[in-house]
Amino acid sequence: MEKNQQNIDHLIKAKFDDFAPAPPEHVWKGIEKGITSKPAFFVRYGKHIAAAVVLLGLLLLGVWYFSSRSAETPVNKLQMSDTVPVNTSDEPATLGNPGEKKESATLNIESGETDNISSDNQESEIVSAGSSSEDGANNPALETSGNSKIASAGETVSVIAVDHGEVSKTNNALTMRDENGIFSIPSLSLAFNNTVLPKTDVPQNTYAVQTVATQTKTKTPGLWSTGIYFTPEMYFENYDSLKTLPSYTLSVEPTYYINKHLFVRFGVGFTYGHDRGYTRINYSGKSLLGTYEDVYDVTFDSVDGQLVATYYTKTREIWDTTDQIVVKEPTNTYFYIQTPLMLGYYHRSNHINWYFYGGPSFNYMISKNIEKPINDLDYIELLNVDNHLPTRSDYYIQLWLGAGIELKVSDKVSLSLEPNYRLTLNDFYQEQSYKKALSGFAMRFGIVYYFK
Amino acid sequence: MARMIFDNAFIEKLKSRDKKAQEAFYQQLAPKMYGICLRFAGNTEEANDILQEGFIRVFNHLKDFREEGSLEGWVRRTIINTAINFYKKRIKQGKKTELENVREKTDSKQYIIEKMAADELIELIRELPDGYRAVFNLNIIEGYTHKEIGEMLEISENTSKSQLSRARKALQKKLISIKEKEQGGKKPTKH
Repeated sequence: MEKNQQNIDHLIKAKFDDFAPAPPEHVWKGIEKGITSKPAFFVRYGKHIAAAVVLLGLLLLGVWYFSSRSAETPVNKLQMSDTVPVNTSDEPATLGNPGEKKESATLNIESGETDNISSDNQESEIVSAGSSSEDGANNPALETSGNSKIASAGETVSVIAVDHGEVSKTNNALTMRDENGIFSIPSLSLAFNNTVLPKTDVPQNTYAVQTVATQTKTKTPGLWSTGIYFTPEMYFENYDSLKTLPSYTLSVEPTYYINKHLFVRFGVGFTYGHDRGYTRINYSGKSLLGTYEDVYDVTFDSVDGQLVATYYTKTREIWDTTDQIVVKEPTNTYFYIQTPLMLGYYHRSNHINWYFYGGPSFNYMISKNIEKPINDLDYIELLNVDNHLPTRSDYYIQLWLGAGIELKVSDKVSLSLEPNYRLTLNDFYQEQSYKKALSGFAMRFGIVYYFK
Repeated sequence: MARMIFDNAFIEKLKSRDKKAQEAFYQQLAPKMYGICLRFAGNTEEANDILQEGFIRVFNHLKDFREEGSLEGWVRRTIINTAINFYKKRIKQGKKTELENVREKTDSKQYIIEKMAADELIELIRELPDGYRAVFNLNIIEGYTHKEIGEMLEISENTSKSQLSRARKALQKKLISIKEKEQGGKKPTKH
């Protein structure tokens, strides 16, 4: 019997050894269309990658635009409303009372916007229009006290910035205000110690300080923070036979603040995701059809002159092989490494900061556990497995759009809450019938530490 | 079975995506591979799709060919893997494999098989349920073990064995049916 079967197998195999029918011509045309010079990855995800690159480019352009705007401030002129006369004689001009050579004048300007900006990072320059004198003794001395600097003529020392501002001197103190009457210059003090300006450098009918051109350069070098976030994520799309269950991510994400409002965030996280699907299994298995009492012995006894038969039985089970159907709900689990790259706008206030951001997030699968819906012990013969639990792709790219608020716990620590919309840009599942853009909602809970 | 041998220069041309080399390569191998596709597929249209997708995979992944074995063997495996993917998709789309109750008959069917042409035999194999056909092709014709088949089709070794057993029975039933038809068609001769 077995030998006979082997012969049949051999015959069938031999029949196909030289079986080589000509395929239809249109197949080659289809192959030609399908062959591309690009790697399969770029063919498949080229549009998404291009869109991500364009988006990132626009975001970077925005960063450059806003950061360059904040760095550039117009050249300003200070006007002295005090009555410091211009020295038109050959005598050196003095600031303050012309009769007192050792008089000092001080300019104090308070800034109303110094929040989160270190005073060390504020730098101002005053560019004197005059030329320096050869006589070192008569030069205005350069002194530095804290953040205040005093320049000799022609030296660049510090910056004061006010468009069309006005400087006044009262009791040896100079104050400044802009057109709106709002003081908006960082703290600065100027001390003029026997500031003798050469006569030739001081135009007629102007105050000495008017010859001083001022220029503001407000540099806001980067500030760093790092957040630890826990993120549950839910998906909007539904499939008939598949539940894409919430995923959970724990991540560490440093943030670099490009300037006062713009920030870049990146980092790494570990995501746990899982899906549950349905699987219909047709199998041939053993079934308990019923039981019966099997008499294994009979004894006859005489009781009160009557014959009594006693039956000794065992309960026997009747099993048979039957075709059965069972529906199971296997669960597949996945672990990903998540690497987001976000650009955002930040607004600071005293207690609560708010911000919004967007950008791509790359998720690479590092581990998966595909549950088998049935094991060999469950059946005698497996007839058919109709599995409706697709396997996820090895990676996916998401576009995140999110907003958040930060509650300041201390000067360096904040708690954050971020609602977050996510759109998956490539195929989330490998199987053709499950290929559609997956979107979801995530709520990020974080604790943020600022490196000040 | 005669195998084609391609020299290294030709393989390099294929790897550099030379159009003429690709077409020549396809013309050489397509008939043999189409035979495989016809055996695995449920119908001719699906066989065409398997052949097309299989060769696209071949050309796009030729750089992965390490020249350790024969190129024809590598293409053959790629085509078979493509056919298996098609089979898996069919299964997951809900087209279930039907169970056929076939009574064992010990008659020899060798004569019928010998008489049949390959394309007629393919018609019989195509009529087998998907799972039976896949296991039958992989084991009887391609020579894969049940363990290998289990890994390829993501089924157990025992399932592969039982599927093959049922495939054989189903095929035997069809052969007997053909034989009976042939015998019924012949008029008895009187002496």
